[in-house]
Amino acid sequence: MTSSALRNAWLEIRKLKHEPALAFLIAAVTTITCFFVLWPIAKVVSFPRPEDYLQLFTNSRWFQAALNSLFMMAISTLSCTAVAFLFAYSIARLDIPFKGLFRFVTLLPIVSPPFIVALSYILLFGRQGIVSKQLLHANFDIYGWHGLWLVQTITFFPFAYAVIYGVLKSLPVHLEYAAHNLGATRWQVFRHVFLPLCRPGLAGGALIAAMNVLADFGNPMIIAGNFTLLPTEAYMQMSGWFDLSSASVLSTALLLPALALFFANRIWLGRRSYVTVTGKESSLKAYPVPSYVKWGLFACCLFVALFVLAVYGVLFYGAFTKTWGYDWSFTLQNLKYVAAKGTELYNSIRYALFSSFAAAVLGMILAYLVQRKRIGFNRLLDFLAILPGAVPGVFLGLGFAMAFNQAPLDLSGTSAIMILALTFWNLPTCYSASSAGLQQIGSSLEDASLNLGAGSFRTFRNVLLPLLKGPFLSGLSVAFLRSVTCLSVIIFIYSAHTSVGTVSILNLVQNGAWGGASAFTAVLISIAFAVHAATQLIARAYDRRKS
Amino acid sequence: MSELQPHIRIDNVTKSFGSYSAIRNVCLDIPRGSFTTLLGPSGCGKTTLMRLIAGFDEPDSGSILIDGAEMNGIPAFRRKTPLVFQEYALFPHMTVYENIAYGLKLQKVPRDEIRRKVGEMLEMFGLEGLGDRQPKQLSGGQQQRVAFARALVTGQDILLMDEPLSNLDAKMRVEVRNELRELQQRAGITAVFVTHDQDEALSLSDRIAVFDKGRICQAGTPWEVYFKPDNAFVADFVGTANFIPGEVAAVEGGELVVRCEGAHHRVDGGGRSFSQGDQVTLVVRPECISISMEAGPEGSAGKGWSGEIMSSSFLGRMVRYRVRCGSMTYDVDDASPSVRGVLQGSVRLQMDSSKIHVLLGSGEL
Repeated sequence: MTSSALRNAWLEIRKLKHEPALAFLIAAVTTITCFFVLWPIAKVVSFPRPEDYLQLFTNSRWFQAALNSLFMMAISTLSCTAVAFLFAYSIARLDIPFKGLFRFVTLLPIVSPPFIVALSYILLFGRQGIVSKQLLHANFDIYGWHGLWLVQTITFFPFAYAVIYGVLKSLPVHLEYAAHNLGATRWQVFRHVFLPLCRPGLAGGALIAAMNVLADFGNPMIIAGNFTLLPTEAYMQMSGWFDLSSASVLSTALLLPALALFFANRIWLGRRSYVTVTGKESSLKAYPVPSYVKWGLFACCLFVALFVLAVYGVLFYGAFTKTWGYDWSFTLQNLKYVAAKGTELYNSIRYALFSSFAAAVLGMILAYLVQRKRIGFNRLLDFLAILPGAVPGVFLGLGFAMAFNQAPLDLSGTSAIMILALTFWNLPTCYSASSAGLQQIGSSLEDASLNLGAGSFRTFRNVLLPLLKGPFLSGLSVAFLRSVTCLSVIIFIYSAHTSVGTVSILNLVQNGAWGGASAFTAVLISIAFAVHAATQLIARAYDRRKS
Repeated sequence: MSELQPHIRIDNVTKSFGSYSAIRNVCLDIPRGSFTTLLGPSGCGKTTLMRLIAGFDEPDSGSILIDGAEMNGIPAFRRKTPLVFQEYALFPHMTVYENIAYGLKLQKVPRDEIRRKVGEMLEMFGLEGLGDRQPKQLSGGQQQRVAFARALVTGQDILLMDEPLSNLDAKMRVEVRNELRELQQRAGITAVFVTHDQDEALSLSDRIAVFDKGRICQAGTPWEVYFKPDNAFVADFVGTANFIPGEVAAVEGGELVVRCEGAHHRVDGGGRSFSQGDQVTLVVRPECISISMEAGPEGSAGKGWSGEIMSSSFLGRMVRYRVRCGSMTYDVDDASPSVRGVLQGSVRLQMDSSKIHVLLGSGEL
């Protein structure tokens, strides 16, 4: 079985000798991807001695960190999925006001720096918090698992929402009418028809949320206090004692469940099938729900929406406040922090631009090769392209730090390593966007171009490239946002010269400089959104010209 | 180059995808200037063969020759075998003009000449004034003409067509069919046409190759394929056929006497050798059986068989009856229906022996 597969692969490879340029491209892309994806992972996993891994069970602090990570993942996944379902159902099925606001709220956390909710949470409820100190005159201890739980729910429910909403929106309404017609009550229809049809979406959303919560570094770093998790513990080992072995063990412990979740998600998405798109029933409206249910759900959505808005509002308020908790007067002083850290800000933008562009180009080439060329190892290349998406950011950063600090490629402390790490971290995003785009372009278009006399490269340039502009730009724009707001990947590889905005914010937070941290975050978000909006405008202008 | 050399020769070609064998040991000669149709049900391998000719796939074994030159290993973009795609495959990001001009641009034809040639094509296909449109702004019929124009503009002497009419409505299809045949004869190009529609195949082609399960069952003129099918599959797939089992009672020169259903029929053996006692199957087209009301109370007076009408469907120009005679059920066409309505009850069937075709064997498909 395997040997015949290998033989087939070899036959396909041998056919490539007719197209030497293509063969060279394939060889180059495969080598580069292997080198920057597999090598860092192998380096981390193989670094500790086997007995070091046993410490995971013997060292009680580490064991506790692993348990904490799993526990946090479990409860946050539940709450994220619940809130996501609430929003998805309300937006897709109910006739309620403020839907625009609710959609906006589900988008905000996706495009923000990862620790922003934790930071705002401190500003709202911390010892000097505006709610706790000014309104309630209370003092609660917000550091720990319950604080983190709330923060993770707000941060990651939008990821689950995107998946669940996609499924809910395409559910055929006429099935519910059929059930009503057969005599089912509203509650029975919900339980027997609607929920079972939603299940693929709920599972997919839960998996996405779980992956993100498990791998998250920024929020726990700021809010978890003594509640240690695997990513933060790995960082402590590295920054505190420079203990590479321990950091590797902890990161590997994080990698395994992350991989499992990731591939469960891939398989699950592949099977999600009973959503039938016939385009016939689109005009049917959902069967109305009783008004007390409708307004009850609306109230819940509004509450969450207001909370998210408060998170961002307080941040911008904090940016212009003299001393949080003591002196609420207006100041521009905090912006000076930002000005003083101009290099970091400049680095953030620069690295994000380079890495997102590189990721978009590489992602498109990979998607083209995997989908359109029979090269004998398409599945392997596909796997390589999506693998970084399964690797927690902390792990990837550690991998780059360990793999490229010596020959054959010593990049430690350079801008190159920052750009490369971000590029490969964003590769799956761009690759998936291009892949999805390619899937919508029928292969007969390329056949037609070949048939009219254009070779592989001309066909790619004349036919595919113009049609892939949309996916290319959207991948680029998401990769840019992710890069600007990334903390976990670069925490192990930045140096004094190559530090970026998110690192500065973390330092400001750890020093209790709330004003400066808020101001810096506000500026970073503004820049990221401006660039995002610009690419959206370009894409839209392009669309308009086309039609 | 001899006149007898086929324009395209398919020589013992086999192609499989993984464990699925798409075509097996296919041989076919396509004469220069002919209109050849590859006909068969879906999944029979006809499109695979077309893609092999165009060079999108390479055969596992065997070879394809164009003008006597071996095509194996020559990439699609060097073959000069323009293809009209089933779903047209018009480039959505190019205008109609750019779509048609694309092939010429790749050949580095001077701009003025491109303009002239594309203009000619637009005029020929009745697309004047639509050059600046995007493909999606055109109707299905117009898109299809653009696809033809794009394939023909480079002036190659081969035209491949993969079910190009299947996305048109029924009336349009018949119209385009005639235009297409006229165009092919005027330009003198060698056309290879893939379809699963037997009417299209019969009306358009000089030659038809009937495919089933990756093999060619029969290749011949429409006449041969319809009236002298080589086997039961061809007889059944092209047109409708009644299969009547029988036995050879006597061989008299080129003629056979076949006994079936208690009657004897004198039929042409078609040059093939039969011997007495062979199990055979008679293939009779519905229009080769005439139907009339039972003449009198005594059925034995007339020739042929008596039967009972079970159902009928009125198709306008004719009526098709299902008639039960003993254990057999026949499809019978009445080509000149009476204005008074369909026949009912007992009828008498008569066969035109000159149009009966004999197959060896029991007629299992």
